[in-house]
Amino acid sequence: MNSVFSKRARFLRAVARTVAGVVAAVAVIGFAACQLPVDDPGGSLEVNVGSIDTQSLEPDLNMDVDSYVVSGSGPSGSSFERTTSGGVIAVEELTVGAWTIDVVGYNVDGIDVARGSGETDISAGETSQLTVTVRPYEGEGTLSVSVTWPDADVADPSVEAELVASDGTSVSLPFTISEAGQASYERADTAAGYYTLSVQLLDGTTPVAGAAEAARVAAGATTGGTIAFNSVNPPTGDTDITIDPDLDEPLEVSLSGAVADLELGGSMTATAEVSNADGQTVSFTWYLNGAYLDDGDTVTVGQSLEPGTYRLDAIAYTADGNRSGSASHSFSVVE
Amino acid sequence: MMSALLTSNGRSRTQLRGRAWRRGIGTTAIRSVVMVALAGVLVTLWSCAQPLSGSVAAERRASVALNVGGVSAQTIVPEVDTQPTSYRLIGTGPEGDSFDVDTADGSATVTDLTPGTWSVDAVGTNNTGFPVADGTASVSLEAGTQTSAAIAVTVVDGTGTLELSTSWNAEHTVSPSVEAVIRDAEGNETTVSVPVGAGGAASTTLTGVPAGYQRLSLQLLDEGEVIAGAGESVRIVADVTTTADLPFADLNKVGEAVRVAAESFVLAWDPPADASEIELYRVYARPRGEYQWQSVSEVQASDTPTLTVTQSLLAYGTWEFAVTAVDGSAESDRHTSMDDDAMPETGWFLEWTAP
Repeated sequence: MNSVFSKRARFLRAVARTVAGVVAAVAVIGFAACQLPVDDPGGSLEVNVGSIDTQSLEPDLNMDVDSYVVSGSGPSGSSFERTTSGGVIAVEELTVGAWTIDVVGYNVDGIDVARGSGETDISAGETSQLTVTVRPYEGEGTLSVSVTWPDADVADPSVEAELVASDGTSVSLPFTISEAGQASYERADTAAGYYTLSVQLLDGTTPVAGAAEAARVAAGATTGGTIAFNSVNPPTGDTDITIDPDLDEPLEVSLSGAVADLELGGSMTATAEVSNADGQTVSFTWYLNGAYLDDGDTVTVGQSLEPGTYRLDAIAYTADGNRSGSASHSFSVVE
Repeated sequence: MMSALLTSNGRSRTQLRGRAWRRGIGTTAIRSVVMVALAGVLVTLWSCAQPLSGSVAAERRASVALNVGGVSAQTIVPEVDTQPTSYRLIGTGPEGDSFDVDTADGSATVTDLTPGTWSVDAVGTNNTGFPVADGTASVSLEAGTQTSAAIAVTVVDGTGTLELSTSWNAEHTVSPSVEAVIRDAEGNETTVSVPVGAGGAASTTLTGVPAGYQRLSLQLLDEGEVIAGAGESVRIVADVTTTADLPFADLNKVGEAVRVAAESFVLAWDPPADASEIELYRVYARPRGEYQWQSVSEVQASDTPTLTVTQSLLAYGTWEFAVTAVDGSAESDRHTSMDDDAMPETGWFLEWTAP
């Protein structure tokens, strides 16, 4: 995830630099005084018009300026109007005095898409230079973006998007999944300007694809586009597996209190213990010469036994019956 | 080594070896026997270092050579090592994804798995690669997260085989049989009659025994009476044979019944090899099932000591006999008709009835 965000950050910086470079076209106008009086040499004007880079998401209105109309309004109602495709224009023989210069940019369809203005003083015999910044019209436009992806590859899709204006302010864009493998966003009151649009496709909470685009919104126009994620990175998870062995180890049983020789008519009490019960409840069953004798931790045996040899066994079981163990004691009853 | 001397009403005198006598038990020929010989225990007794010492004479125990007094934990387990030395983890996940990893220490991290529900099987194998434990866990994996999963591994379920065997001194039994009872943790019992072979041995193989711990009780019977037994915890492992061999070194012998229908009978016994210091023998008897010996008579020492028992000495009944050697005030331990070195070694007792 970190790498995705890092790429995104680098992309945003690159886009920001591009936007800064195309904020405006400029017109450089050189002025020269009119030769109205003979002794008045008049002035001249030079206008320099640049170009705008094409962006990924452009409005449906062609914002490329095809021509500029440069008009000037000067002293005593004097004026001029020139048309240029860009660069520097020179206007000569202007009346000396203060001039207001308007520059309107038109696209190839003849629609004005940008404007700017400036003021300058024209002196006799001199050429004045005026740079006019030409900007797109202010206002609101429509931003409409769709995101598509291979539906089968994303189990739990969602789209997170952010629109970052050139001044750094940002807003989240609520995309709606409109159909399988597609989400969309549209807003009609988006302020005209340049933006950075970043989009991430998530599967669950994991980004599986992402993109960042420079977007331009123009007043009265619709900026739309589709970001197609033709392939996605399958989301993955990790697991730490730990074996918890419960191998039902045999119980270690020990006996105490038993004697080797028991006088006829006597008795002994044997006690069984388990050393590795590990907290489990253990019960004991006693056997004498293979016959069930009793249950319990202790057993008393011998009083009714005839002379002979005997084997006392204690078999331990845990409460769940999964572990067991046994111990044995051999003894004799003697006369 | 020794002889048993039998006569019938003193009219005939037949000397039989123990085994020959044993073959005749229960037959018409035996019923004609009216004299019972005590086997040559005295040979053994007399070989003792202090056969006639006062201390020996004071010892009244009918001691039996036993390997007793030992306490041991003896859960019977299969020979196969049940400790896993490595585990194989097999995961099956969404869309047919899978993984298969081995781990020696019982832990593993598996990465880049498709999110979703995974089933992970763990199989533990021992040092020979034999599967001894297994377990399964379900793991729900989320994308971009690391999920911990613990797999409880238990012994492999299934059934195993129990090879059960026992052995004893065949000379000490008359009509042996062996019964085993196997009881599981829930108390379900299976009783098995273990076939008795030749030479004091019995064995059987039980298949399909559920894996886990079984309570095994094994009893050796002679003529229907329990003469030895043991209880053990036996561990059964799936697809493995567990061998339970429970020999019985010491038996509470039943003995052979010698039936005599006559007014009298003759007891005979062999003196020890060195009987030069023996002055006399004392003969004892006790009703079978009782413990107190009663003196029957004394017999002067000779090369072929015998005692003719009449009703003036002993009443009709079922009797066990014993004899001691006496030198002055010293008297040896009793050698009884039920001792292991009696003739026959099964031990014997007399069922004496009127003719």
